[in-house]
Amino acid sequence: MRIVVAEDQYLLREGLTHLIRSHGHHVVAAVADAHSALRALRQHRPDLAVLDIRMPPTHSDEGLQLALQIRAERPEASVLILSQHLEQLYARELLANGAAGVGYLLKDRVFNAATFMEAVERVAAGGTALDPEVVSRMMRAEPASSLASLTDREKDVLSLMAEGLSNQAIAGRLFLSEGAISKYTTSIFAKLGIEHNGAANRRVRAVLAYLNSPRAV
Amino acid sequence: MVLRRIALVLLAWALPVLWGCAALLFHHIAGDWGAWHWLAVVGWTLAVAGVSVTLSGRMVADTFRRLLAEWTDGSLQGRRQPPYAVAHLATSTWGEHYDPLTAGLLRRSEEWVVRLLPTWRETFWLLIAPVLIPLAVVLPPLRDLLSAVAVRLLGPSTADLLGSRVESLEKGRTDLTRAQQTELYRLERNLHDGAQARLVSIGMTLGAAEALVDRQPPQAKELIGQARESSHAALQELRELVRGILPPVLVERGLADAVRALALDVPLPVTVHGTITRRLEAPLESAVYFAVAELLANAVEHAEASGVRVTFEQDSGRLTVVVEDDGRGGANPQSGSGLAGVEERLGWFDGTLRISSPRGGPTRAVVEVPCA
Repeated sequence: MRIVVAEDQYLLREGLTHLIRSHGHHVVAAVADAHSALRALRQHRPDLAVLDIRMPPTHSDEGLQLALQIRAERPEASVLILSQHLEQLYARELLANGAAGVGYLLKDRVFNAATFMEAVERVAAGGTALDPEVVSRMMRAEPASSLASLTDREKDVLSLMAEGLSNQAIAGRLFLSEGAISKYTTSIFAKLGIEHNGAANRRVRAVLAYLNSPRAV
Repeated sequence: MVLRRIALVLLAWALPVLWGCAALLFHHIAGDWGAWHWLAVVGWTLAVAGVSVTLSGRMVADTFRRLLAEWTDGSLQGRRQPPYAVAHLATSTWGEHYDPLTAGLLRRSEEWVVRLLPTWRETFWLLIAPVLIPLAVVLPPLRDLLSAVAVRLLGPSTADLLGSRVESLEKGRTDLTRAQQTELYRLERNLHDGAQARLVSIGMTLGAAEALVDRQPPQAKELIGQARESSHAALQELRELVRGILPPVLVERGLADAVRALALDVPLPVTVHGTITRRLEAPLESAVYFAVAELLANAVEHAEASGVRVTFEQDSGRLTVVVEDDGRGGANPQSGSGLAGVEERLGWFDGTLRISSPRGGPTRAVVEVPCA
């Protein structure tokens, strides 16, 4: 897999590069600012761009703007945004034109190499990786009554679906069979009245559209 | 209305009538002083006028201010600074050299001077009022002229306005310094008990892991895992702290998007309308942000609202943010809630918070700040 890394903090950039390489992938460019990142992305057309959200020149949300721009130029481009803080607003902007090949994670997630690389590979393959923290904020922002019909276990499954995990991956996390997860998802979609459609990343958008949409409660 | 106008005319003529009576009285009781007679009458009348204006001028002028309110739209209001720098000097600066009793008397006398003595502008008003007031009462077109003259002579002077401004700025500065100090204490405490403590524990855990790594690798591995968890928690705490000081999205995107981001985290449907075309100064932006955050928190915690609407409106010199909910109302900035703090913080920037929140609702809060 060919990956471009853009991160202005030297230690983290080196760490990321090292981590990705040690998992057998190829880092074609590791850059420290948004301009070089754009150039590298256009030149290499990598399988995945790992972008820090805050980079020179303005240290605001370059990474996010860059991701939106590159996906507008090449809709199949996969991007994984890393940030010190998470915003539902940014997540929704990133996912507005499709959740395929989009990731949005806290930088801390790098600490856990296995889960992080799993997310990297998922996004590069056209999947979705939404940080559990964003998802839990979305769930918290729901009026209590709107998720009241779900059991605790169903809420867990809903969160993991929103993170972008496939049934197989959810089953692995919860130590359940894939069949059991499939039953849970069917029951969740029925209870919330969400249109059911198979692919994990389309499911993310459906769940997100449900969470935080104005509804009579 | 009519009574008020009659009262105005009577008040305008009270002093001149008094002076006329004094002149007549003197003319009658004084004998014939020959050529000096009229000169003496004029001198006596001027003396009476002087004393009467000195003793009652301020009170008469204040009565005028109240009676003229209908024609001047409140522009005569405003705190007046103590006049007479000289009187003030005499009693306060020189007063220090006297014994306490005399100094006390001087201070009291200064208070009386302030209460009684009219300024030159007020005196001038007393002299022209007898002509101007009846004319304006009879001829409505003259009322604009009258109110213009009244504002000039009875309204707060530039010095009064500057004085009040200095007073409010001084108060603002004190509040600001105090608030800053409280904030620093809070940060210090938070860092000390939070991230700093976590880093100490991470260091210790890693030390223990290092000691174990050769002899008992599984335990060492477990400790390293703990250290990683701790570092995650430390970062989490730092993130919360940063969000409380200056939300990153405010820095990255400005006020409107920061409020949109905030709205998404509130467990209520919040709609955000309007745009901000020019970015505000950073301190002002953050004051308005925290004002809106407080108002939204109130809507969630106290108002039992089912929805909130936030509207931005920016014109040439002013940004208005309206936060309306459909809750049960009853919010009161005076009741020691966070709203008083919001009001104070906005005050540093000459901003205001107006709240209308009748019992039973709805609540409508208007934040207004000047912006260049």
